[in-house]
Amino acid sequence: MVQAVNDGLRTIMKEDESVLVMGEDVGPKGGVFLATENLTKEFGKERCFDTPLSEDGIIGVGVGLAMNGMKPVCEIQFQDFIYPAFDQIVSEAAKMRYRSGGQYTVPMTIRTPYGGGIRGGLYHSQSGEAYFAHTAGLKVVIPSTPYDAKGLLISSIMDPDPVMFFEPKALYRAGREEVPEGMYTVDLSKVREVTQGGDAVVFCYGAMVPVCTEAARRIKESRNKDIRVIDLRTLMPLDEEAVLQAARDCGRVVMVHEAPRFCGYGSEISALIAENAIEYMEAPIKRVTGFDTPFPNTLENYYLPDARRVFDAIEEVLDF
Amino acid sequence: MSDTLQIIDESGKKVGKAPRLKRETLLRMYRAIVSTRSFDDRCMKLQRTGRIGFSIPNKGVEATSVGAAAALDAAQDWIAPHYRDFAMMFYLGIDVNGMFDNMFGNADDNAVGRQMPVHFSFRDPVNWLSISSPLGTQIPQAVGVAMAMKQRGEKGIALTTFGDGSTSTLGFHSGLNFAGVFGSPVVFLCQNNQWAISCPSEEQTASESYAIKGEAYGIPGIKVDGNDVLAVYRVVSEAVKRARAGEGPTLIEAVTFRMGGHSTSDDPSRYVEQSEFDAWEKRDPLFRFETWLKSEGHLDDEKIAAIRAETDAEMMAAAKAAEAKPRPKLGTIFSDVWEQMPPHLDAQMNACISHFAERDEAVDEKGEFPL
Amino acid sequence: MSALEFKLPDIGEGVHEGEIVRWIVAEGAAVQEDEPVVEVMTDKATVEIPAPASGTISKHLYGEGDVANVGDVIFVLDQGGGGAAAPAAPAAEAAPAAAEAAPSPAPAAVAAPPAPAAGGGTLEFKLPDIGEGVHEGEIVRWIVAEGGSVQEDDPVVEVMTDKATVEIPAPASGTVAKTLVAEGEVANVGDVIFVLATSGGGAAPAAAAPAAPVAAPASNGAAPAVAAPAAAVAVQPADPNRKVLAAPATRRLARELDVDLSTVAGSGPKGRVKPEDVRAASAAPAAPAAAPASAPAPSAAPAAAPAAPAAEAPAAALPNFPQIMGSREVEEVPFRGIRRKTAEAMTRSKFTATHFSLIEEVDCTDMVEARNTAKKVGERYGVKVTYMGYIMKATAIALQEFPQLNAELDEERGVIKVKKYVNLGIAVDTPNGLVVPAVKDANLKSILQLSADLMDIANRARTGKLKPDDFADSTFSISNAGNIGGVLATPIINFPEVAIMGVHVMRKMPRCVGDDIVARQVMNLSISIDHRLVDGADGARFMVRVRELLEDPSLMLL
Repeated sequence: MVQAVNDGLRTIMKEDESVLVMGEDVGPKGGVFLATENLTKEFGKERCFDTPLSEDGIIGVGVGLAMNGMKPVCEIQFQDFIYPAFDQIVSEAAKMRYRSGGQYTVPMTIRTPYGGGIRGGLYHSQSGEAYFAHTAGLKVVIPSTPYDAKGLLISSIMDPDPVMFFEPKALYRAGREEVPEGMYTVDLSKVREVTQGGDAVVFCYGAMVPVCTEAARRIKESRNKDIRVIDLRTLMPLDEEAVLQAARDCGRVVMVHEAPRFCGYGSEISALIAENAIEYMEAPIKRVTGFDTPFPNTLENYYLPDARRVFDAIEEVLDF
Repeated sequence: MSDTLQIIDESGKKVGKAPRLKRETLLRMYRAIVSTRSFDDRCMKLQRTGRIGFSIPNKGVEATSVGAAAALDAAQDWIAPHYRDFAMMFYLGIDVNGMFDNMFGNADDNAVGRQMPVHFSFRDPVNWLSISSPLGTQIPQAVGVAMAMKQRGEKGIALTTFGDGSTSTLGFHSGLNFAGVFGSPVVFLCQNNQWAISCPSEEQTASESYAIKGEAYGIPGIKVDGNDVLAVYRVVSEAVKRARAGEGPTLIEAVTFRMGGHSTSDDPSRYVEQSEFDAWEKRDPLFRFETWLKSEGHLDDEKIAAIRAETDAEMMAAAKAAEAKPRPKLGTIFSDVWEQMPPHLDAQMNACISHFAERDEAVDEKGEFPL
Repeated sequence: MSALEFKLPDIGEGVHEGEIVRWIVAEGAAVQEDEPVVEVMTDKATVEIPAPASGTISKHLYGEGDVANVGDVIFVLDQGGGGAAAPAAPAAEAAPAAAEAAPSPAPAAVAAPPAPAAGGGTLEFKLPDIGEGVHEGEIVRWIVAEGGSVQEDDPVVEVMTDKATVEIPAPASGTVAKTLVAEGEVANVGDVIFVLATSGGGAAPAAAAPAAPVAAPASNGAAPAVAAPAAAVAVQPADPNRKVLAAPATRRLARELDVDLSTVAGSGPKGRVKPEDVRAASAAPAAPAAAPASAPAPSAAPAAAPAAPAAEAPAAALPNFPQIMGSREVEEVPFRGIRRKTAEAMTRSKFTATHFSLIEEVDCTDMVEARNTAKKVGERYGVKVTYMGYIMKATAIALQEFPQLNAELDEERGVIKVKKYVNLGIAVDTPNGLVVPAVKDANLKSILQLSADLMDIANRARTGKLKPDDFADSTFSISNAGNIGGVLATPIINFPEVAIMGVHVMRKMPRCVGDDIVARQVMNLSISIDHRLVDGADGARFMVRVRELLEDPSLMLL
């Protein structure tokens, strides 16, 4: 996936001169995950450059660039480090269009690796998507495949509003697939049906998609039930109609994310279904999530939802 | 750093070399200061009678605003302002009607009634970035704006203004640091008016001045008498010239004084000694500039009275016009969040509008239907 | 000279009160706009408040040292001459008013319907808003008297509001411990009108306990048959106090299949009803205990069929006018409910619409013949085909051709709203007064259907069973009061409609047909139109068209 991100950046930088890549170590080094590898070489240090170690500065300067005709792609090295820039993201980028009545806008993309699975402990593993999905004015996008990573990234960069682009670092070097050369986009706000089925639906995104797909496969194998796995892809704005349709079709719902449960994104999905499709529910809506604790290090595999936990939750809703 | 540039002293006498400025420009500067006093006065009365919610007094700091404004080229330069720079707006010819539309938050307000008063946002006649309440956020943004111009090979520069309190923010640090590193065409203008609400300068920083902080970022720091409009003009002009020439950013500390409260909700007599007010009253930038203009033969008492009457009348008329305008439509709560309204928001908007229409509360206090 | 009441504004951000430190301008003194009037000290600062306009300070409402709340009037300013200062006046008041309006919560009066108590206890029943925006209701009749027991959903009291007379059902089973408003009295929405001692915790075992055993025998002859079916369908008697466990989707299925979940024994964990249980129950021949509540404990008996006597009542219970017995007594009848509503509506109509009336004579001979035939057909469907059915049909057809009579004037917005649908308001004389429910979409309905709808609506009107929706959105009204007597009338428009048609008595009269004088069935139709919107000529053309259709009903088939 990390190569797809790199390819996406290269493709859009060729297409659009106003696209700039900036962040810590994104230049000659090519980023700590090599997502920006060779971009400085290819486009020069005016288009892809290292910045001082200051998240607030990266985003604050990015907001200024975006307001004045550029399309900055700011990298925050780990999502865990984004909080110094929270003010610039939430109070500035997200609200600029609104507070200026559309006079000033911020077409900026913030790329950041998120989530566990690399033995990163509590400061290299966080999943903070809910903070941003809660903020009006931001879009929140999380790919789970190389194809989507490139297509969604290009769509995000071309989007007229600020986009939080969360990259599941656990999948950077996992799932491999051929990615088409050149420009293509994947629509924001459209879910992806990963597997077909009508016995229960599992909603997930990012690194949880392969976990849920595996759980669905095991259910099929052991009980011959068809589980629909839906990759939400864009958390804000959400493709609500698709979520409700899947919920109505299946009547049994499991929501999976690695972020903590309390006020997590799964709460929103659960509430959405409860408000709009309760009479189709054959069983309670189950959430499989990280625990309501900081992210552990040594015991991270016990914290992260895995296929077995998802499998159990699907069984629970099937057997209700 | 202890040297503070001064051209007109407190008594209005010329003590330094005056920059060469046309009479017309000088009078435009003067009028901007007088307009600010009229605007302040009008806003205070509107606020005290409950017709607007809030305002920010500008009395005392106008020379800093005007001196800096006169050094800019509105056609290409950008301003990332803080909220105490009304005189800069008047000098640059920003429409006073638009300013009052914002004070009332009416349907014509550029911020569509979404922000508190004094949070102006303009595109014309100059790029006046939307003002934010969190402090210092505009500082790195100005650097980004400037970097974009540099990248495209344009000659414009960005001026960002902030108070002494904002030098403690994250934005000040990251903004100056980035500008220093990237050599961005930015002018950082710190309006040191001595008080961050009720926090005095000596409790804000242990540095010997604010200007000296530039040194830490490899940026020249210059201190100027902020109540001396000509001195500010000269210092900012030089900084702008450097920036335009690709020589990088400058930090300017303009030493001035807030001759009123922080806002209309603030009572400065609770924390500022009367003796301090009295001392600064003698250094009033308007008096100083007026005295000098008179001595140069540009102004006389009759003309002064005429300008004051004109600006008072102008503010009164603009305030009444803005007050008479309708409120923004109810749907504007929901617009401009994203370029395209997502379906969930559209549903909320429709529910909101029909809810208030059903409650018969959709008619506002002026008898208008804001739907 | 206008007086401006100056309210203390919020002079900080979120200040709630201020102390009057000093009156700078004394009572009776003149002041110019912007001159300071008073010095006020708040939590945040001491400020001078300038005059919002020029004039004379006629009154101080607070003394020095007093504390005023934000929004209180602190002084009154008499504005001299008006003129330039005037615009300031509404604004000064507007701001605080707006501040008050903003966060206002939902009206407290609209109390949520009380939840049925699970165990025993008492429940205070508040009069709900039973129309949209009804504020009071008159207690017509206590169906269940104090001490009487009642099952959940059984009617307890009959209440008449401006809009309709409705029966209010018990929110839970139990005993009516107390009635707080006497018959004939008016209660406000939100007032407690009765107290219910709910059963379940043993508070009123008399009512609840016998219900279950009685249920089975009560289900007449079907009972033995039901007991037989083999197997799977586990059926149990309904128990209103039992909480049925079922997933929402199962509940939906039960609604769709018309299965009472409380009669289905669940096969799931903790007795949870599963979809297959519902399907099995639905497939079973009959729900044996479907109506257990209709055979309640003896004490509840009077409540069982409360509607019946009410329905028969009108014939017997004549309007309760004072009997004149030669005394000098004057009885005072409260002016409220439908009477007052009618008075208001009539006044508004008469003083707003410029009434213009016109009478047309219709030869109904052919229609009478046609209807005699149709009547037999109607009987097959249980519908009494009436002349009114023909008249409504003709009216609906003519309205489509003269839409200006099917309209409404919205003066505020300066538009005439021409309706693209025809809802015929039918004036019905009821024991409680005149009501005008509407037969909806009359233009889309047959004479048969219109006759059926009319019958239904008239019955419900006379028994006080109309729902608020029945009154909504009538576009043109027909008054049939003329059939009591009278050959002509000038009906009053059901404002804001623009026209009303009166239907008068039909009788045999000598008329010329060719050169012969023959007996014909003749009826007058009158119409009043709002001359502001419809010209007399159009009104006349409309009536000619209605006449044409009624004189040859076959034209209505076109």
